[in-house]
Amino acid sequence: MLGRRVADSGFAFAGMLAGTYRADSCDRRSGVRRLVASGAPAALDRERAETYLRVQAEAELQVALGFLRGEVFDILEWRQQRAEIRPIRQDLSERWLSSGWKVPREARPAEVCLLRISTLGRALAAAGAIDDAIAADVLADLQAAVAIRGLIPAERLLGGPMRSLASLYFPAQRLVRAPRPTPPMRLIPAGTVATCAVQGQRLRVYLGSIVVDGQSAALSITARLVPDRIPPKRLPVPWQIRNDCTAADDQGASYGIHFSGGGSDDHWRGHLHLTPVPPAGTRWLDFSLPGTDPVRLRVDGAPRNLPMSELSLPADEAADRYLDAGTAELLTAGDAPDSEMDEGADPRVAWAARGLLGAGVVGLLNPALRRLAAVATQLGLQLPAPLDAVPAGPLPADWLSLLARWERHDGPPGTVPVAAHLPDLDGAHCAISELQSSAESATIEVHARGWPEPGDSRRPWRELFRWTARDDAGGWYVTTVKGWSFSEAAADLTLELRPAINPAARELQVILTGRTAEVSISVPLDWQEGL
Amino acid sequence: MISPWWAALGPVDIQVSCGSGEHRVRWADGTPHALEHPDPEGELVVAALGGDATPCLDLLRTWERHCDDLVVLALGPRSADDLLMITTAEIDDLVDRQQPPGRYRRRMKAGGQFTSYGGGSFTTGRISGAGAIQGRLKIGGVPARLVTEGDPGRHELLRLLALSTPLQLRLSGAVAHAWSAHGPHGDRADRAKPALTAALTGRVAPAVARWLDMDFTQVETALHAGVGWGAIELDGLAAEARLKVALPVSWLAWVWAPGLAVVDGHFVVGVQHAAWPTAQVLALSAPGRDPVELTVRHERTGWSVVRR
Repeated sequence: MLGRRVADSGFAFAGMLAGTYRADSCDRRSGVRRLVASGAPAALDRERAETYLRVQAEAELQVALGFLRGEVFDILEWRQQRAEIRPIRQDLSERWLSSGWKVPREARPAEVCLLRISTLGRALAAAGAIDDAIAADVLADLQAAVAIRGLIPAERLLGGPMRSLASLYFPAQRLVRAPRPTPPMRLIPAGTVATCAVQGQRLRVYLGSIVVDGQSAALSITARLVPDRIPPKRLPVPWQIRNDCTAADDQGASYGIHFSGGGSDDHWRGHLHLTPVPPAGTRWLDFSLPGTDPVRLRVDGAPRNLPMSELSLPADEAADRYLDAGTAELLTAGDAPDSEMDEGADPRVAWAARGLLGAGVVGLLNPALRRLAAVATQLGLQLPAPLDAVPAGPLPADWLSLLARWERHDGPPGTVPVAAHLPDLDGAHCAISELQSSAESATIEVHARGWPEPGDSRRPWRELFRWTARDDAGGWYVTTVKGWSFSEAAADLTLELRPAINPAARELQVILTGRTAEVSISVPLDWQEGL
Repeated sequence: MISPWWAALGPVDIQVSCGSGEHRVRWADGTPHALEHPDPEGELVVAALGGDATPCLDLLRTWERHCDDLVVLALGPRSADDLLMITTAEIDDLVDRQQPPGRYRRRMKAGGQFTSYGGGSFTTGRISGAGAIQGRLKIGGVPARLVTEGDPGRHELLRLLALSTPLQLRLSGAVAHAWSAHGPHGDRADRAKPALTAALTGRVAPAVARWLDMDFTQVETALHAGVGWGAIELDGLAAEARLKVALPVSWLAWVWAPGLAVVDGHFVVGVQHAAWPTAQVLALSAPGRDPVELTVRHERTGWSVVRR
């Protein structure tokens, strides 16, 4: 079972490297293996961290107001160049000019200032050095401060309570601690392939897994046009499926269906959502697809009982885990500039690292900082001071395995209808419905309850949850969120897994890491015919 | 210190449309006073029983709610030149956009001024006095939805801050006093140390920048909690120089709020005695030197030394 290997394999992140884990218990009923960190977490100087964040916010405000010297130009000119900022009154402009206020030559200094404080606040909160609420307050105050000075549009003050603006940056503020739904989520693996016909066009359809969680029911679906004709220029096929597909159960009840998802001209992925939700006790559902016999899916079976594990994470290494996550992102993104930053600017993990260093949360010889230094060296990036004084450390085996396979395109084509729960983590209850693999990458379909509302859509849930995977051939995988939908604390996520799954692998441990623990499930890679 | 924290601050008058006339609210002796309402307590009781709203008294109550609010120091001015550009009209506009239609009635007066109706509303005013700022300003009503949900105090505070720079400085001084050693929250100021340190840093640094032509990043600020006025020392030279400043929170109330931070090339570290428009202060001519006693006087152009 991979769960045990997590504790013994010298996993990349700091807590694992420290080897401070011991097996604590095994829940015989659920089969969940629990591992706990040993040793008391070191005390963080929370007052110092909060003071640092607040003083940095003051510094950023001063930057935005133009107290800093350097490469500067006239604030009046800057303001007049930007049409979205209303013209300033003559008396104010005269006072500014006479006082010699300048601003650094940045595209939107106040926006950059806000981003810096947002990054620093997130890092400190993720490291456990300050509360999320404090980070959100500081950001909200800075945002209001720059808005009422006309440095960002006043509309940014909108949004009801101003602190809700900050919650966009701090999704933890809106994390819904939902109890496990009653009745519990039902997961039914289908794994059925059918061929149907839409507008005279043959279509191969793969029906993956059904997830019923009390408020919604969805069947994962993949569809591909059979390339025997040029696709007609008609309604997109998913719309036709929606129009022509029906479902009925063993009691004679019928269901409405709508499709959510996306794809290309000849290939779609998504979910068929059933309305109403099939009641408990439903034995089977017949899906009638156009041009073929109904496909019967049994929905009264038990979910798959796959090996699961839980691992508590040492609180005093939260900063290391946060930095490692950012460094791994940097490693896999290469030296591509951050889309939120000007080309050539420091990567955001460097901002976070510098902040954690300045706040006294980590020291210059911190192992995670050394890994960041090593990755920067590998990518040819010059880290800003004082990070440039951090000696490079060794790259963990997991990261090396990632690099070794990053460009491989030998992933096994196929699908695994996983249909299994993960143990609850930080208020979230997640189920994996499906794993699909292609030569270049793989995707995991997740349904999650108690999931935080997406805030910063560019990096949703990054500070709270992180998905990774490890195979039984020693390979490590990282994920990016390729698609998501969210409604009432429930989310459907499509995660892209990279690199391509090693064809030699026979089992994949899918890992969800939160702030205090990580949970995993081990999925046998019994590939079914894909599309 | 013998003098109260506000002794070096001159009075400020605001004209408020209240009832059927223009009333004066005067900030003096550390707090605003509604001059046309000799029995504010009695009127508040009447208002609570369903009587007419009194914008003058609403302003007083809002002041009272925020005179120890640390958010004032986070949003408010860092110096007299640091002007808050948002206007009450903009705040009203933003609030309007949040309102369900029909919840608030608003009409334009001749001349383009707003008058708003609704619970807890202020109204138009003109500021005069020591601040010498003339202009029509208006504070609109606090929407009921925001009063009952979320963080209504922020909107109310924004309206208060939009009144005028002189009032912003006085409100900031009141908050700093509340959290200083002799203030009502002095015994629990430790819990607010990060916010107070940031507030001090954000105000000391611009003052120092003016005094020594130093960059913000060259100033390191700490709260001074012991006896004496604190310490200001210079480490290093030129671009490598670091100015280490340790001052008590009370410096913000006694020195910074009245605009005394830098007077004729001296950095003022404390007020020994004040009776506006004059004050006896302790001031440094350079970092590391002992402070000297100066007598300063507020003239039309600001404070200047009248006796060394």
